[in-house]
Amino acid sequence: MKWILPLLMLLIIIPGLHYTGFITLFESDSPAANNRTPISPPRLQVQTLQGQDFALQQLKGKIILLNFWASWCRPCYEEFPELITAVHWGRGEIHLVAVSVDSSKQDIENFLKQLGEKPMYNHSHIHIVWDPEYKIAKQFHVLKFPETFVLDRNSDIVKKYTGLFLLEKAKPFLIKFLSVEEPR
Amino acid sequence: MKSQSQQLKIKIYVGLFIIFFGFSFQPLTLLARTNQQQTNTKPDTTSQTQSTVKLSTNRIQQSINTKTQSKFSYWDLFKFSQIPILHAGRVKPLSTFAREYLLVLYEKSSLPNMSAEEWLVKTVFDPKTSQNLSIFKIRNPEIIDILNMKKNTKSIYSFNELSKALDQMIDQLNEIKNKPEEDRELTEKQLWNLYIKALSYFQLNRSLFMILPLFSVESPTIAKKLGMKPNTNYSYLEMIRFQQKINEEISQFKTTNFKQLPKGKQKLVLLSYRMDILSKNENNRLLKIIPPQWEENKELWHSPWGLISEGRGSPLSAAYMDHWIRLEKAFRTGSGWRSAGEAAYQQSIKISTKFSNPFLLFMEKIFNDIQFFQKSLILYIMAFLFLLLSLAFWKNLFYKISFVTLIGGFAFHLTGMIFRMSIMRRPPVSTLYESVLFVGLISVGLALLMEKYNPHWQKNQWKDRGLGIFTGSLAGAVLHFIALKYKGTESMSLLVPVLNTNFWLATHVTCITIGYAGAIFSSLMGHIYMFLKCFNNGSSADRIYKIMNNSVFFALFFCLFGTILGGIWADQSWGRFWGWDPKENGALSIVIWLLVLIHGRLAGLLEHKEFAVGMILTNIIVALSWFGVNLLNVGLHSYGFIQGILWGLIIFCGVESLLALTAYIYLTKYEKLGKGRRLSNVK
Repeated sequence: MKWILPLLMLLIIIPGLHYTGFITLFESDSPAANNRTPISPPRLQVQTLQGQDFALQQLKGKIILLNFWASWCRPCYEEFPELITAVHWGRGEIHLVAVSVDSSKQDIENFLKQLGEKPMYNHSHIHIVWDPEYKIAKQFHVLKFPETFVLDRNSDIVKKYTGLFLLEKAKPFLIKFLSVEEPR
Repeated sequence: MKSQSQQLKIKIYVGLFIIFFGFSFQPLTLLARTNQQQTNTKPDTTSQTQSTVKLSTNRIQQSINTKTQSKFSYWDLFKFSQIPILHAGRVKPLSTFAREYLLVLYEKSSLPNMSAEEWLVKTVFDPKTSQNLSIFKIRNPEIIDILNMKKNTKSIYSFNELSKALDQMIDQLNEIKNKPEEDRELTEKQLWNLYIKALSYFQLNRSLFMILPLFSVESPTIAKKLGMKPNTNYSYLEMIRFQQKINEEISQFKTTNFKQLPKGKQKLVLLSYRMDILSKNENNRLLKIIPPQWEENKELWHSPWGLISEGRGSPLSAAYMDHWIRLEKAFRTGSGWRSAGEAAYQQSIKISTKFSNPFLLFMEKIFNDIQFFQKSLILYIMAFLFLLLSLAFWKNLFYKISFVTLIGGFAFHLTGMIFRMSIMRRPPVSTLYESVLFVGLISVGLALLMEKYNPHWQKNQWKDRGLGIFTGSLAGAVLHFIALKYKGTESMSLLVPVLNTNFWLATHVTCITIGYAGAIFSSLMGHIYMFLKCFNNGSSADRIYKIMNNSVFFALFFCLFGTILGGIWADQSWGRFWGWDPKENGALSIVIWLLVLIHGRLAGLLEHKEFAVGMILTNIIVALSWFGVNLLNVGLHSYGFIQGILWGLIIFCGVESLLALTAYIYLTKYEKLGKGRRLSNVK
């Protein structure tokens, strides 16, 4: 009977030590959630508005703003100029891939016309993609508009902005990925 | 001859003991049960803040019209039921979620011919048919009368019946809602709870609506205009992309009266209306199966609807939802369910690597299926019955069976505790349910040791054999019954932050609880000693006295050690070593009481029988500081404030005191009169 007390003590102390982290009995599953692994995007082979083939992989090494929008979405009107400004601000390192889910091309063109002069969006870093059947949107689980994903230089998704994208708010995050210290 | 009278004595003594425990614990558990009914009827739903809504309106227009999978085998659902879900603040497998949900509605964790998991599958994938399942248990016949429902023998109703009845009561429900909770009468409270349950079921029912193929367009012309295929079923998710077109179409005849529209256009308006209704589900946050995609907070899991409305989806969640769509299809067509379930499980693990542990999910699923504590309870009761049988005939055989059965019960009990500890990642002493089970475990363990270390064990002699089994099986069974009453409220729930995992919690509460177990065991020994003495069984009584003498030190050690550790914990958590909190005083009072007894005995102030009387009274002290402190409803040790248990405690204390007093008076009186006048010798 003499062994019973030490045994019981051990039974208490060992789990106790485990709970404080002095020893590890089994792997704990509470890692810091902020060190999340980036999500790699699904492979996409899509067409731009002009009918050219386009793949996200073409832009590997660049920072991509992958934006989902539609001409019938009110906030998108407000947002689009912000995105264009972001591309200019990024000094050639930021590309915008704007995926429209509109059902007709005409709607998209009307929308773009409202933005103003052509050169604004006719930029080599701005790619307008047409996705009338929600194929891309579905793969990114986008059902509400606008939504914007940020892809880093490895083409991994590192952040998502739901709703209106505001450059001022996004700057502190985006700047971490830019090689230039402080763009204009 | 002698052994016959011996048997008679033991039988009488066993009978008395049962009566005593029956008397003292039955009201206690009854009270606990009514209390549980009052507190445990709130499924988690946020709807209390919303306005009262009618349940039977907005019925599902279109049922799923193909041959659905109607029967599931255990292995069909094996992987599916391990899919993680966040519910009540904890990540758990769907298996647990389904059981807990059904327990709230049906008061049992499975239906007569359907497991909880199967019920969940049917509820979410075939909402319309499952609304006819009788799952709402209404205990109070008054409520059934108020609701004007047909009485049925089991008082179990389906959602269809209940929702119709509740909708008739919408005004009363609104009135109840506007009353402060403390002013509501019992029936009002129960009615409101029933409504909340129904509402919560309603939400569960609709939690996967977006992937069910509920929409179709018959007219080819309209379908063509929208870009849809005619007579094909579409889900809400698929319909989203046509929504803009539909709105554009409808806006063309917005001003026309609905009745004057051609049939095809009427259908289009109805379609749009139904999509609108369905989109109201977007605040449905019940089935949180999607782990955080972008958030840093580990607890921000999403329901499929929530993910849509909050726009927190990612390619990973899209792939995961595709698996649920595949599951739905497998269910609807009645083929490929198992492989779809396995694939969905794999994806769920992939998507939630950081938020759940597949091994623990597996363990919990097994834990749910085996029902360890139910098995151990049955084995304890069987051990007790075999022991009684062994007194009557085939002594040796039944004795051995009884002993093995008790060990079996203990094994289930212990394994269950270990499972629970691993799943919850904390010592099993944090809620009342757990601690009662834990005390049971320790008591049975001590009793087993007592039986094994009986000096007569080896010699095949019959002297006081079986006392350990008797104590163990009885303590185990009774404590299981008490624990079961708290299961609904306490089981596997989360803790108040201060009680959460911490070194001092692990050691302090465990020690204190072992101390309680030791004290209850010693007290039982006190009871046995007094009974044996009363029935003139001197030598057995002496052995029990020795056991009691040792176990009291065991109890004292753990109570004292636990109390001191508690002080250290309090110092770290609350910044003071001792704050005269009721619980702290309770623990201290046990220590002091045990010390009084031990010192009294060492000093020669207490005789054997007085010491034993003191030990019997220890039960009262333990009950008061364990359960009684919760009655005071103050203090920081809130691991389960119970109301309504007061009378149970009073009766328990009364019976114990009376028992101790009677035995003491009896012994004193007849010892004075001398031998030969004891009960055992009266013919």
